[in-house]
Amino acid sequence: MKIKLERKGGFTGIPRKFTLDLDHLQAKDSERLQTAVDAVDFFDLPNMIPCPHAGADQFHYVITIREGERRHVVQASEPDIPEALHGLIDEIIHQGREVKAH
Amino acid sequence: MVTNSYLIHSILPPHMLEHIAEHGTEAQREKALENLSLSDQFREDRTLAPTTAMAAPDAAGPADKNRMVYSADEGSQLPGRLIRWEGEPPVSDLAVDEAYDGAGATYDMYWEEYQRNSIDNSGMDIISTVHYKKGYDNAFWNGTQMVYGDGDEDLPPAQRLFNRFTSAMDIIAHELTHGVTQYTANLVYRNQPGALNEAFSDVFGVLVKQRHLGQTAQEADWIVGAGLFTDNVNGVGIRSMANPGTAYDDPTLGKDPQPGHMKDYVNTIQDNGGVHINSGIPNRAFYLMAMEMGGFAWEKAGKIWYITLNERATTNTSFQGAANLTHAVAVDLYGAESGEQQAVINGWAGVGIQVGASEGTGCLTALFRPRGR
Repeated sequence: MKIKLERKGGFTGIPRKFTLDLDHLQAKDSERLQTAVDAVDFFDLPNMIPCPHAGADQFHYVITIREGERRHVVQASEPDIPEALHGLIDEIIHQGREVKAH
Repeated sequence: MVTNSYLIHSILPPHMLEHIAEHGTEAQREKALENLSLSDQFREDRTLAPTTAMAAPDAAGPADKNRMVYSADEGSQLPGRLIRWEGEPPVSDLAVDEAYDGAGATYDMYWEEYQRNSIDNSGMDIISTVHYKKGYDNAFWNGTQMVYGDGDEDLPPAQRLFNRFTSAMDIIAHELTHGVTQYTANLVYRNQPGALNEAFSDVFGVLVKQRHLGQTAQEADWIVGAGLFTDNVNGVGIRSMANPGTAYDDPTLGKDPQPGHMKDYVNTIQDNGGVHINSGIPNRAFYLMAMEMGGFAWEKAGKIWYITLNERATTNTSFQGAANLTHAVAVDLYGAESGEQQAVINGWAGVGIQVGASEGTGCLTALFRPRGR
């Protein structure tokens, strides 16, 4: 499974991209990601999760996951992101930040 | 607010239309651009209602500073657990005290310099939440309160890019000013009005910091978010109002994309039409006029921009509109032959905008104008 998360907007306006290949991660990290993907039923999510536009400086996310022949893209904006999707986003960023920093 | 249900609306949100407009087939792109135009109108209509409903009374009344600082305890529920409220002594949590003190400095500037009583001018509670999520590199205004992440403080120091977002007072003032904008001009968060929305937040953000430090325009660094980057990043801050496009140039984060002149205006559908990018143009215009006026920037240039935001600008004000409005305010305050009104003319001219020119069609003009014109 390959995961890409693009993060846009925010106070800084600096876009970030985090990519992870579960085949190249340690088993425990790969399992955590797989659990987060399964918890949100990622491949059954709508492509777009709209939210009412309010406030400023919030993040917009584009998540792309490939698994075998399957590929699915989900876009979502703060603040109204489902809790389970929050968990997946956090897991991708946490692991992606550490991979990037190595 | 966090919800477990997927909200499906009758109209696609703009960022998705933007994505289709950029990546779709020709037919999809055409349809998306058409819908973007319609949704702009839809949002304008929608944003007018809350503006009217939230309109503050003309008289500010007595000062009513009421700060409440919560902790999300690294979760995403807002507002979270109340830690410190108005009048309470400092606590053993640096982010809580920074949010409290920064909100206080911001309230004080708005009240003492511009007689504005809090975010809504009616003594609204100033609510902040710190420790939002874990490893969260952001601060934002969600429509009712301010929210701050701790940056990369969960990582080993050698891997950190961002410090906690309460560490820079101008970021706190920037976010609180988004609230002020919501209750005043309510500038739509897209294209030129959105970039102006960002610029007003940057302007009053740095003015709160300058006032706190007692700095004149000449003494200030005019950097937004100074100290937010760790030493692992090649940059002095997030944005430079004096020299947009020069704040950072880093292998991981890229280069500061801000223009400082209309000839370099960035036409993009990313970032709500480049609201954090093209804000460099009005940011520099403010810097130029404040430098020409001299002294403390919040006293004259800041007052001109505050009155413009509070009384003159509307949801769709463009850069040209802001130039014309700030000049009119300068004439009203200081006279038609004054040095202040000339500084406003010169400031906007320095970024390629001539005071008095026609406003055109605002955001649509900005969206579709070829680069370089």
